[in-house]
Amino acid sequence: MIVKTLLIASLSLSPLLGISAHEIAQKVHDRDDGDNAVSNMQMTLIDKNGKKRVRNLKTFTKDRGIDRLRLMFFLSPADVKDTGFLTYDYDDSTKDDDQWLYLPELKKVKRIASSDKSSSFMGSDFSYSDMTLRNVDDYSYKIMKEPLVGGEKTWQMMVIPKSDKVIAETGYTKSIIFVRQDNFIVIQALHYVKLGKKLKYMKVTGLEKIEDIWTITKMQMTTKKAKKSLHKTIFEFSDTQYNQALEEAFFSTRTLERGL
Amino acid sequence: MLKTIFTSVLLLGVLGYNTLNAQEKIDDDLNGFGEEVASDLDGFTDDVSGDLAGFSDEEVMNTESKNRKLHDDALRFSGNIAFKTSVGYKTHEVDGVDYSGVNQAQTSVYLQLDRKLSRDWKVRISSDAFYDAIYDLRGNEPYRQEVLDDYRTQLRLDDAYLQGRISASVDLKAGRQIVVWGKSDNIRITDVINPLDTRLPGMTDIEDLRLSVGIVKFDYYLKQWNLSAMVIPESRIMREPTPRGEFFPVDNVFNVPGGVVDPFPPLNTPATSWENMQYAFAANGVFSGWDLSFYAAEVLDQKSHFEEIPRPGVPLSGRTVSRIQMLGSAINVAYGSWLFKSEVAVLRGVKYNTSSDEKERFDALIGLEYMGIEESVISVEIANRHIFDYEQQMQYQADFVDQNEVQSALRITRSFANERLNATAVLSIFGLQWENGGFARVWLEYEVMDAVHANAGIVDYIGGDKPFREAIKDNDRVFADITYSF
Repeated sequence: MIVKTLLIASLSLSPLLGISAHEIAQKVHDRDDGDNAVSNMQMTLIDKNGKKRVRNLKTFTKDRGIDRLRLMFFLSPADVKDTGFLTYDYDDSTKDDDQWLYLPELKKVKRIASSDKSSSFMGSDFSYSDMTLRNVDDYSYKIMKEPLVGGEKTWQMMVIPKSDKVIAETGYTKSIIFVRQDNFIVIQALHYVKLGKKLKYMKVTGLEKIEDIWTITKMQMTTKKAKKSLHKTIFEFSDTQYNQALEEAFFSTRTLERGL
Repeated sequence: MLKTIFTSVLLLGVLGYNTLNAQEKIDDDLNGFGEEVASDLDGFTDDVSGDLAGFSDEEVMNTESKNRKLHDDALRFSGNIAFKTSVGYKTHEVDGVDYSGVNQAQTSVYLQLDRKLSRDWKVRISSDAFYDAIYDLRGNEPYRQEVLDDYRTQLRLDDAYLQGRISASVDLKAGRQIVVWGKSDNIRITDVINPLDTRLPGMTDIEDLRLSVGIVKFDYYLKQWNLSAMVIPESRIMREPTPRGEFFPVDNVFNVPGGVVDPFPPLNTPATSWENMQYAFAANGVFSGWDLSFYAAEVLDQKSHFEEIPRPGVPLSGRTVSRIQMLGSAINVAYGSWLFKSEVAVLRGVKYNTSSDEKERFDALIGLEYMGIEESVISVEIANRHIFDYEQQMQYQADFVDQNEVQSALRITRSFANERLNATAVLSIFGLQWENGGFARVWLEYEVMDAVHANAGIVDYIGGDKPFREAIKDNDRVFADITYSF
């Protein structure tokens, strides 16, 4: 017990010895994750009985200053094919993101009121908040440990929202993240879900350097309750290409309506 | 002094104990990643219970290759096959036909062909067909030929258009297509371009109701604005419930001594001609947090009227649709989890059955959509249609229309099991106090497997002061369908 106490005390002091938890979070936020990117994404939804549903999407992302534009089209299965999703993800946390959905059967671009990001992203275990960049200053951070994950040294950090508003928007009361020390990628994370006392385990299972940019090629999120897995989602990214000729005008409702 | 030291030590001890307890709880939670948090990435097995036999990555990879290439095809053939059935659980007879019990057994096919001509140009052709076996299975019922023609079989061309980019800021879309105007999801105010298929009112969502029309449409994009100009050469009008069919029991709707003329006057479609060419213009602005649209159109009306005012002792004339002019606007404003919607429209040239005048009408809608409840969307829309120079006889046969016609729509959708199951409830009702009838529909949509969906639900037709809806109040039914998309 004494050893544990000392360990906790030493971890609490670690910000004084080197990089602070907040600085790590800022570096995670600021790391070069590529621009003008095109990628194929496969989303596999697996329920607790092992039944799978597979969706394939084409994604386009572009940085506009500190904001991020993202356009996604479903390619399959056939019943959701051509469904499009456009997001303007603003870095300013006081400003709501702009989101539009194109449903081919409705033949109409529909604006989505997006303040609440706790809902499932397209039926997956990832929420909309998992798919957007988080504002660093909305959270407090504390380094807990520096464990090895996948043979790589990480910072294990407690991340706690500073306000109830952030909790309401993300649905998470706190998170424990593991940040790789060599490239500032969150390699795994545990999210405490406010509703239903569920835990969500995110894990990066594929990481490659593409065009000199660390790129996540495979990740998964598993939702558990009382240590039982309820549902799992695997995202796989392929054919990722950066620095494509994506004009800002491409990220518009015009493209949503026209389709690929 | 000793007391202070003792208290401090005690407090530190309690704090330390609590901290360690919390730490142990966190460590326990972290075990959910797998046996060893710091294990190799590839060995990061996370199944605590072992219940999830299907969680291996290998199986996931197997499905990858066959799905990934789909979008690259220049020629794409898609569609769906569906089977629909419904059961009327109240006895209701129209024109000697009992529609209670199983009243639909429809198999339908939808086919769509997409051909990418170049990077900027593509062609789409789609059509649908159905056969409803119930009319043969219940062959002893005295269905009218008009009912059989409208409900037993169908072969229809839907979309057929060429779409492309003329320049960096100009698009062209020419051919049969659907153009949706307005921000509302449930009530149509400015959405005047495409006619509706309302043969089965209350049974179909708006997305399946619109009928494609031949349009030549130019779109010009200037920063956040899109200016749209349309020429509509095709005179295509709505498909109404068949007279003396289940949803238009004319003898119950109209009170005519000796009965309503049989056959009921047909609905005549204006000729497709230069004289009947329709025009439409729109300006759509998309801004951060809000959208704004302006519309102007000269198009065929979405409702029919008798060509001559019905008079006692005079044979009923045929029915047709008038040409109307519409000026309108629509706005969306997103705030937090709320989406505010509003639409207004001024319509000129609206014809009714009981007045020889062309009327002017002002339609307005406000709506709210709330997305702040996890996996749920709640939307409420209320509209009013105000007729200027209203004449008192319009409230009676054969119009049954008030000077102010209020329509309310409530829609609640909630997803369960990672959107595998969606539950939706819709209420659409007329009258300020909901006194004029409407319908309520509740249904569940279940994703059986990739590309296979099943629906099951119930529709309650609500009677009221208006004979059109009172006459079909017993058409309540449960329904189910299954669709395979390919």
